[in-house]
Amino acid sequence: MTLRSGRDRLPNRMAMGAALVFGLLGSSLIASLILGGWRILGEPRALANLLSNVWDPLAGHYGIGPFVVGTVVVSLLALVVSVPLALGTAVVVSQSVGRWVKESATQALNVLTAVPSVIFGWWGLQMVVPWVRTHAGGPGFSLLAAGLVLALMVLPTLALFFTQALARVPETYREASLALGGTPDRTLVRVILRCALPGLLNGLFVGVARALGETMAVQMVIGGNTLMPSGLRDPGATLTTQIITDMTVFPPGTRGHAVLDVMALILMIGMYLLVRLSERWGRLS
Amino acid sequence: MAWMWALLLTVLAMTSGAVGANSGRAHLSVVGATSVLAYLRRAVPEWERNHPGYTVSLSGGGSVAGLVEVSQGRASLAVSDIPPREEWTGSKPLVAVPLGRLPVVFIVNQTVPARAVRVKTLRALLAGRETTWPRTRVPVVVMTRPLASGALQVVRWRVLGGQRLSPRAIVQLSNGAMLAAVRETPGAIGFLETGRVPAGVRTLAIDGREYSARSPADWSYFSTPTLYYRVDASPEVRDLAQFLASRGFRAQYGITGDAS
Repeated sequence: MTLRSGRDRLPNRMAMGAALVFGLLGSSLIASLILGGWRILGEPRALANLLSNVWDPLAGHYGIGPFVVGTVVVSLLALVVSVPLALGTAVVVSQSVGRWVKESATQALNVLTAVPSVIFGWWGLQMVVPWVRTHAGGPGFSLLAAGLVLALMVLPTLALFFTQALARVPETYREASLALGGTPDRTLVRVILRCALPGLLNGLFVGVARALGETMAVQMVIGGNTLMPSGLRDPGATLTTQIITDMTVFPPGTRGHAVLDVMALILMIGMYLLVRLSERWGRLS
Repeated sequence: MAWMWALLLTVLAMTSGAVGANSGRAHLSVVGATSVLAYLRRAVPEWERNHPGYTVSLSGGGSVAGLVEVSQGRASLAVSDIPPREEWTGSKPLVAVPLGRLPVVFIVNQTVPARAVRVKTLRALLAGRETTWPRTRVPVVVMTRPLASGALQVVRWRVLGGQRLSPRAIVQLSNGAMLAAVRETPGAIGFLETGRVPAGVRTLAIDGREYSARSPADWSYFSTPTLYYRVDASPEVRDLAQFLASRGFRAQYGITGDAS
């Protein structure tokens, strides 16, 4: 009896153990970033130094302003391009096509979400950078190129979330609207999209999180320039790309490494806020 | 539950098998600059054949990463294009074994009209003071490497006299990325650590001297990839370092002469 109850409890204990290990790893990661970054955060005028626009680590200037701007601009650009396309795809897949097409499209989107980011970066180097150079001028390596590559990367994720959100709207709502004389377009805008809004926003936050965190593909096309960009055609850098560029030159314990820890912390706080917003809208949906 | 025990036993059996297979084999690791990785990939198996019971792993990560790992005892040998600094090694003394000299070649896109420049002009181009190519209106696009790059240090100190590269320079993470970016970008100029003249780009002659794999000694710009180990390193680590620094076929990978 005792042996049997012990066996019965084993899966639960294993699950609890795994959860505990995961929790400890997560907490230690956050703790290491805070401890690592404290060297900078504890300095006088830390915020003024960090928020300046001069990144010259060899001269002791650690302004991360250009990277914060780069991160925001590239993410926004990616969303501006990808959200309408993703929404259009989701509407077509969830409303207007047959079952076979719907399933094929969903599978294709699933496959696209699994494509490694370096493939998107490679494609960006071959196609997007020359396109930007030809049509917008400049060297091609730019915030614009990074935003376009990122748009393609987040598009499948957004389209999948949007499709699921639209599919959750009860069919009876659509039928009721049409029965009351609403046109299909009016039904889509006034009923279906409105009802699916919390789910759509939930998907949007996940897309933003992916855009904020993406590193490799963006690094390959953004140019890695540390000056404050003055336009979309300018090369630039994001928080993640600058971390990967400079992490080998600043070993743990150095002031530069502390700044990279702060940059990682800023990203994690941003991600946390997005997850909270996503949860909030998810609950509403 | 039976499946879970079966899985557990299988994992244990596999693990013990792996341990058994590796027991008696010692492991050495080489970490650092990627500029001589191709050479090391050829040389290390030769050393392993002469030392049965030893395996050697090779990883990139950059010069600084190699120096940090060796100083902290997490790697056996570091490969670095740049001299160790206290903040990387924690003041731990390291023994240096130079591999030789590796040319740093200046490459330009095929659209660039210039084939040769004076060093003064090269300095102005790389520093961003000249924004178009001489006697043309082709804009200059400067490509550079991250701060940890040995090639960047050579360019900064040997060409620019300690000045910074153009603040508008575009950063490429590896030699391969640099080559691809210069090849594809009109007006681009960059630099590579290489012993071979790469295809798809032009090399620039500086002050009348052009790099040639046949007479590398005539070229003035080179990095000095060096192996580093701790003073308390085992005899095998010292032997591996000496072996790697003395292979005759280093020249096939562009590594020539001594580092002096």
